[in-house]
Amino acid sequence: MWTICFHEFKGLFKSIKSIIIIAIIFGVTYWTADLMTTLKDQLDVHAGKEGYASGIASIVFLLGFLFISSLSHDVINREVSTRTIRFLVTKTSRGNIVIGKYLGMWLFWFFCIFTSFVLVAFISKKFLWWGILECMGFISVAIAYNLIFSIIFPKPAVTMFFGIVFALVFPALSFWIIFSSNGAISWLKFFTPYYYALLGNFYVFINFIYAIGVLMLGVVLFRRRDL
Amino acid sequence: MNVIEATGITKMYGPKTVVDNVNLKVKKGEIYGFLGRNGAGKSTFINIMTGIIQPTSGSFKLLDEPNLNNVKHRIGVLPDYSTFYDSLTAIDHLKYYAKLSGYKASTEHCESVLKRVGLLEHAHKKAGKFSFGMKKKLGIAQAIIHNPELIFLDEPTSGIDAESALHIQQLIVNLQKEGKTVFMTSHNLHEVEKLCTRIAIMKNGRIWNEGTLEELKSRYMSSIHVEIKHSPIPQKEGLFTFLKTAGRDITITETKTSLVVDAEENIPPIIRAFTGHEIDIYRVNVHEPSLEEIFLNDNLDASAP
Repeated sequence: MWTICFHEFKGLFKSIKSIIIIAIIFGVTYWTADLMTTLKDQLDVHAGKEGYASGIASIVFLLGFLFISSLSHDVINREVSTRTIRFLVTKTSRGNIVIGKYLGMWLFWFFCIFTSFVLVAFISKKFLWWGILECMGFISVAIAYNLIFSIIFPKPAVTMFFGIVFALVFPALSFWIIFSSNGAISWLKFFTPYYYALLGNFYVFINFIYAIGVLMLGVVLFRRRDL
Repeated sequence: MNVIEATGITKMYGPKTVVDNVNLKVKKGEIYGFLGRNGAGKSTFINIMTGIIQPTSGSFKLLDEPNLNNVKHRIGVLPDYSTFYDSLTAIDHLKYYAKLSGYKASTEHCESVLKRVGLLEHAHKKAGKFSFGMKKKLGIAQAIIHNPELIFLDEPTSGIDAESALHIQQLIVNLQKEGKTVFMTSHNLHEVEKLCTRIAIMKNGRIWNEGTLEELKSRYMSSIHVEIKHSPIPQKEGLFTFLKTAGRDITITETKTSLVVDAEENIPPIIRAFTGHEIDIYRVNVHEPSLEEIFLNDNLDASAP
């Protein structure tokens, strides 16, 4: 599991897409934090501290699905279509493959988010642990969804298209459901990670549990696949 | 000890049965050959045994263990149609796959395995630049990198040059000498005949025939062709009368006689009859069927209505 995890983790850094996304995240983070420093006199202290991380939070919540999908939409099905998966599946359990891949992606995003918050800490003079937790809770769900799509759809081109559509539609749909007063649809808010991210506080931990649930579903689906 | 024990393995894709109720036992230390035409179900069976695909029904034990995940580190697999990561070198692949099997392979160990498969000079070359044959060799290397007890090889010599194929065949023999069990498929009948201690012939998803080469031969060839080269026969009639009782399809020329007998036991009396007639025997050729003949015969029989 850890061998696959670190292989995936290292592999993500080699892609040009990863470098572009890291550059965007760092750029927006630095620019937002710098802007907050300029405007801090006009903001109260609390808002100022939160505001430093608003750049990362915006990117994660609005573009998180899109970034993850663009980098890892084919994390499983690429290996299935090229049949490199056959070497993996004859050496370790399918559960280890799915969880290993998940952890590899998770570590990559943790590294990006953590480094962004370190960058913010240089400017804000405070390390925002809770902000990392909120972002990673949300990202954990997004990665798990991405993994499921890659297991369900056998062709990488399909996951690429579906991932982009999902990344654009899902946030909009989620916010509509969350803020809807229509009782027939508002109960669906419990199925979107945005709801728990918006609730904040310890509700963000529900996203981690949510992610584990989706991941386990992925393991079950992958166990049934012929490779 | 049986290292492979498959019971009632069946694989269906929709209404089509690809592997049909296959029962199989392979003993430790054997080189077991799986023969069959394209689409006979050989690779599907190997893929089921190695966890690549799931059987529709049936069960199997590898190395006396019913849970495949518990023995994956003790088996090595060269699957059919598999590729490698283009950006990794041969050594990188071997280290990665060994680690996945819970085996920490040093660079020296990886190089020694690459040497065994004849790929040492390409150890640091990226797999993306490998030819089909080189990929095949790397596939064999990754199957043995973690020193497994049971090795599945799906067509290990297909697509590689004759010299490399001989090298791989010798490697398979050496693996057996090291006490490992090899389960292999091949389209090369001479290769199977040369290497395998037991052979199964698969047809339409079923094992049509199974046994040692001698067993297959004795099962399939009730006729033995005997050709005798001898000194000129002074009186053909007496000898011919005897030969008619010992065999059939008799052809006698001045210095050569050929006939077909039903069993090996019928050959010594024939020789004695020749010498009894004071005929010198220069050479006796007994034509045994090759695996190719058995295989073709098998398929002809199988395709008969």
